[in-house]
Amino acid sequence: MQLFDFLTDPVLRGPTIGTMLMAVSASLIGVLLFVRKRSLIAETLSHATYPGVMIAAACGVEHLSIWILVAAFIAAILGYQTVELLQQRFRVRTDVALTFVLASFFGVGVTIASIVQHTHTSAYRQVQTYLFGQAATMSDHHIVIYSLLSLLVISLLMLFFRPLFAATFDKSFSRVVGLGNKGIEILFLLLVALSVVIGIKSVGVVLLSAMFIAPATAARQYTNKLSTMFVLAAAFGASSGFLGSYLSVVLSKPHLSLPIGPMIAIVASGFALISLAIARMRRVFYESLQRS
Amino acid sequence: MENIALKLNSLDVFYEKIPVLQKLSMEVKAGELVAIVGPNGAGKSTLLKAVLGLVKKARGSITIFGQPVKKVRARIAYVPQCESVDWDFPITVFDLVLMGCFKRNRFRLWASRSEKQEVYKALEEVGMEAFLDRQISQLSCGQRQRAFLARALVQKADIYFLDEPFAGIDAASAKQVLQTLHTLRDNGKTLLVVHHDLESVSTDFDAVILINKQLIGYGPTKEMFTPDLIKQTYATV
Repeated sequence: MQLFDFLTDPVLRGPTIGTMLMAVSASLIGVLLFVRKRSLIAETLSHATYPGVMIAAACGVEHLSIWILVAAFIAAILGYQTVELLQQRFRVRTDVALTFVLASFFGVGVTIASIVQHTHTSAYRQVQTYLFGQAATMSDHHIVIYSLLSLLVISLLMLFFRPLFAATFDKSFSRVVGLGNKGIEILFLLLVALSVVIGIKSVGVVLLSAMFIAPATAARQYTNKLSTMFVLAAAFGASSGFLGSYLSVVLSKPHLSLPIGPMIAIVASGFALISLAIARMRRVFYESLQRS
Repeated sequence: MENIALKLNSLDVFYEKIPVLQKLSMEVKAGELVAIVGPNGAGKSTLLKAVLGLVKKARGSITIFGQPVKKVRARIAYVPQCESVDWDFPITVFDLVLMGCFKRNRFRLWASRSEKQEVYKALEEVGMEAFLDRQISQLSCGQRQRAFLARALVQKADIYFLDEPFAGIDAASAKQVLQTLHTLRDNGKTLLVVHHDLESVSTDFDAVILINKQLIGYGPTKEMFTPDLIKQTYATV
């Protein structure tokens, strides 16, 4: 099988292009989270979508329906609002608030899942794949939805690059000059929630945060410029999506099926590890140059 | 041109119910280089932050050039304290200074040619043109302050607020910064500078605001910098 077939073959192109789009939007937003030192948000929000997905299943929504995405989106926003509420009203520390929301929302999701399992067995079977993702069932219909959503994420990011940059690096500056702080925070949340929702279908709730963290971590090792970091992270993300899909098909044997989601997470983490190792070798090299 | 740059009317600011600034009233003349002087915890930084809307005021009114702060944001530049920024952030000196253009051209993705020119010019003015592509963590404290000052220059503001721009910086940087501040003043800009070094206030600044939670005095440096008033400022309230 040729590499190029993965982008054209009617069976393969759905999962491959779908996961690549997912990976690009997750990696781009991952850069924002990385420089804000809030990478855990992705982990929390992806888990927070699970009760949303399950409630949608309990309402009898088909697993291909866009309503699953809407329910997941609402659940992610609710999860984020709960984090904010805990931090601001109840003075809970950020890491505690994030972990608390992750566990409690996911717990509710799993509980609803065990109820739905008996009441809506077929819907449950389809929807529980959101846990670890099931890219293989993505069709052209998905590509359209995912392309539109990813395009939305990318264009919002490009349009609001400067205000987002300023608000992320120097909040007081952006407030003083009036670059719209509240609006930017809402946009930030919208982008994170959107990219999480895009990701859960292919990589799944549990592994999704790898796609937010790994490409950004890898990209950071090669540049000191935020704009370059975005481009590199998107490239790492897209390659992880493609290679993950490729390896999952090529390495699978008749008695062994390797799902796409975990493969993508492994490839992305591999990129990050190699990049960290290269950065370390470079540091050691320069230090030895300075000493001699 | 407006004569009064900043007007405070019985301004009160609290941190968690503890009063930090009380009944501050004053009118700062435009076109002056003003030092804000007072002991640690006197509320100098808080005064700047309250004026800029970064901390909430409890009572009182603040106007800049006769208008509420919200309406004149495009005319305000702020140089924060050295420690208040994440130095590991992937940002070069160029990008930092470019940020001064963001308010004017907020939806642009890449720097235009004229924006680049402005950035180069500002960096030259503070003597930082050689550090264009440096990541900010690889700068000394003095170089950082100069880079932030360059960003303020690019903003083309009319009133500048600087929070301890001379803290912990080398002599060469201090000289450069002071020179830039004087140039701005000579071009009719108003500058309010939180300052620690009492010795240099009388030689380098036109006017001084003495505060210790309350206003001790505001006026030309020569009149305000008397042993009595300084003693009063640094006395524990």
